Amino acid sequence: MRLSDRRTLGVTAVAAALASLVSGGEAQAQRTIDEYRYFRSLSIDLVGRIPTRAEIAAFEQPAFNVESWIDMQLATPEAAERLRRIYMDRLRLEVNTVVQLNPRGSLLRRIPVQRANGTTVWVYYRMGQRRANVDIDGTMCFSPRELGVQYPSTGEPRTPMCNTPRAVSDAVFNARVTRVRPWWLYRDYRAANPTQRYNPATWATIAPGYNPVEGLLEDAAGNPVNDVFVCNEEAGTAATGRPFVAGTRTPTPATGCDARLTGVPNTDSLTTPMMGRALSCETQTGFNLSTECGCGPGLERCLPGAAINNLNAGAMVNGAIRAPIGNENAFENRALTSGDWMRLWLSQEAAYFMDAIFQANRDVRDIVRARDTYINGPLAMFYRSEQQQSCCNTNHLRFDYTNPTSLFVPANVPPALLTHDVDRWARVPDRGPLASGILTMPIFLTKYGTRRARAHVLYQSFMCQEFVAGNGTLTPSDEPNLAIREGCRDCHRALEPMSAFFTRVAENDWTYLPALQFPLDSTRCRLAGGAMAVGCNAFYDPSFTTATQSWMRGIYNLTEARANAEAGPQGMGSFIAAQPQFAGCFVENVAESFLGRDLNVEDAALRTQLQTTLSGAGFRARAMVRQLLLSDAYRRANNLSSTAWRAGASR
Amino acid sequence: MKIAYEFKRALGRRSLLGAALSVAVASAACQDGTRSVADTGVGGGSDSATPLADVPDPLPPDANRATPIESIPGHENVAQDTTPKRGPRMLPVETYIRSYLQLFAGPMARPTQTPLQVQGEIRARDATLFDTWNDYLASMGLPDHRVDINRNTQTSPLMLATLERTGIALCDVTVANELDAMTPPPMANRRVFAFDQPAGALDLAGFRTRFDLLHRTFLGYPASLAPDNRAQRFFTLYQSTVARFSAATGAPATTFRLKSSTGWAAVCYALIRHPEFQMY
Repeated sequence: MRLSDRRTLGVTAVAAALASLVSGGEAQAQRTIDEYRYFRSLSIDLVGRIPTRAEIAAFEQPAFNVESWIDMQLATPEAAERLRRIYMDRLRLEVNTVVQLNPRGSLLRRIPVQRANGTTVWVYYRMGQRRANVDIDGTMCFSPRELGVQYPSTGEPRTPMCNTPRAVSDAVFNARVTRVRPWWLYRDYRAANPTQRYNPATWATIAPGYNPVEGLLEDAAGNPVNDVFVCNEEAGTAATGRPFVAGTRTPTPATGCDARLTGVPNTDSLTTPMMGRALSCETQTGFNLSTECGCGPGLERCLPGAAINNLNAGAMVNGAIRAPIGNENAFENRALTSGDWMRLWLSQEAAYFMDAIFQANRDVRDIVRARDTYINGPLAMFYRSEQQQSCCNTNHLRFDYTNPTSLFVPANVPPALLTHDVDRWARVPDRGPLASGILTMPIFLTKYGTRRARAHVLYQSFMCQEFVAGNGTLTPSDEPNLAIREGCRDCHRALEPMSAFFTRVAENDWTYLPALQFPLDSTRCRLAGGAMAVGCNAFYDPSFTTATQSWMRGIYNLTEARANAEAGPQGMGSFIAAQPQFAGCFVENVAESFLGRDLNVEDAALRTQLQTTLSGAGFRARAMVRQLLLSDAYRRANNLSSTAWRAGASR
Repeated sequence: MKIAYEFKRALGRRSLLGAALSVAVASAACQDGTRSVADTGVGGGSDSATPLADVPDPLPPDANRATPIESIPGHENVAQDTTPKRGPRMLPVETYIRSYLQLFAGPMARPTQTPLQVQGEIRARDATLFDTWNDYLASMGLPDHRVDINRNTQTSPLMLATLERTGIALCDVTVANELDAMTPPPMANRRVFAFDQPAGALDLAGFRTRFDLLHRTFLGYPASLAPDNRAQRFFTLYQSTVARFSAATGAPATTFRLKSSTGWAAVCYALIRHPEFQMY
């Protein structure tokens, strides 16, 4: 369902509510000014805007029942958004451009290539793509010598140095390049012969919200294109690839502007032991180690850029970089990079997820422990393929971790959801056995990159507690365990076991580290000859490694942390939901937001009532919010007299 | 909450009525007061604790505890008001924007417009009147979670100037569309100014009827319930504005066709910058 559809339903619900609530009443009721203001407050909090004249007129009818109106309004998307905003403000689940959510293997760059007939065409490629030809392995499929241009890894050549384009012969061009009808041009890109080419007029209904930039629809001369040139390897559609063992290779000698700017990949030490295995082409392992892994059918595993070799400046779609009042109410429409695009949708996933929980009046503990979610087309692409591109790198491979276990099982992505389906959001009933509310969403795991940061924000937001050091004595110490060290232990004694729940989710990433490859105490990584084995440092904590033990990072040598690490993010979700502070914290967050002030000692009775109602309703928020809206505290939330207020009183 | 009522023209743009009107409009909005609810007393609440026999003690053991007022000799029967006292809250910025979009969406028959549509319409009329929403969102208080900028829950001169700027731009466009057009839309199709303009001068009675409609539209209740003879003061604003723009010499420039439109625009400015509009 599109958000705009949900909004339309919300408006319809308001109209229906008004109609039903005033039926039979003709004469105006004598409302007091406080009643009018109360209704206005309710409209602001539940409808998200001031009431219209028609709504005020309905409110003035004698038959108008405020409680019934509240009940109907609480079920609308607008009321859900009001509650969601409280938690989005607390969790701040958006990330800036520093956080690159699109792994390298998912990004298609393009550069202009001059052909023998004098024309110039765009050729798409992936930086890092493995190729058998040593001169172009790991880089563009034409060498600087062939192109006459030496492209840096990002951006255009630094003119005029090394920028004298040469025509590529037809023989070389045809041997290296394939024509593809890509997903960004064709709705039916998976067909043998795609025909449903992008047309802004017709696609406005087929895939509303999908607006590729013109650069992706045109060739280098500005003419519409029906297909694109892609390096052969990137055009590969195989699901798996064989490890590429290069053996002894010697690059063609090249110096100056003919030389390649990056070194020749040499991964034989990793791939040789893997001979005979099939590497998934959805993974970084396949991308890094196989020449047979490409971008898949219609290049569906990859996001294109429309600027020369520069993914930051290169635009992919037109859209909004943020959507504070919904995707249908964008405040801008500009060319977005693939990074901007994916950052927006991963943030929106959390918003849709919380909206759904509040609108369906589900148990609010689902925020941290439910396994369902909502995704749109770009997110379907992300979870189907891109997410696996974060693994597995050289360090993982040293632990024989080649095919990542995903927090969101790719097979659970609805197959019919295509990348173009920007405005179509679908519920995924079960992301997989490791999923746990927002705790396993990439936006949360990258916004809060470290295990401690993840634990801390959850501690704040769902338990309303803060880590505050006591009046301890700070004495110099080299104790690595902060749960023991004087001056640190006040906070870390509570923080470390909580952060341990995220031991198996890599920091600044969403890669899961399973027990099979990564035991909590690794015999392989114990000190041998006074040193850890190569690669261990990435996953095992040198501070807690001896000749007899080597604890994973996040364990901190704490007994209780070990169980938490195995329980994973799901354990964290269950832990938070079971805390006695959870209900009180939820009540506090909601009540303070609606009242516009802190709860204080005079609100003790209200706090208790709301908490009891929340718990009694099975942690479904609607009854509690209803009680709050009907309370004297809410009715008199702005009860300071204007005289006192203008005199500067704050209470 | 500290509210800064400094209606500065910080953005340096011009309205269709010119800057001269700003002070008068601000005055109409500010002097109008904020609330007329019964004064329930100030300062009586926080020092008096509600009996908490059945509720968990929220205070840590070493916290300072309030002394029940009845335990103070001579205060056994003193009436207490322990209600927390608060001034009005800021409207969430999302609510401002949705309210603007609702008020200024053009003909009633048309669905509510998107922010970009509204922006395009205003800029098509006068590109100097409104920049882009993106230029205003931060100063309106919208959080930017990408860079961990929290929601702004307190006003600042810049915020008020921004709200004023966007409100004035929207008022101007709506006056132009609904009142000042050569062929105004049918009454049923008007979102804000759903009344006619009399051929002659408007008297107080005629103003009251029309002002009540605007008062309901912006502030949510009949003008007759407003404090301090609000209709009369807004009528003064209306009259003085029309008179200023009708002066034989020295009248400020305006793009409005009708002088009365300048008066209604001034009333619209005053309502949309009214504390009761901006808070709740």
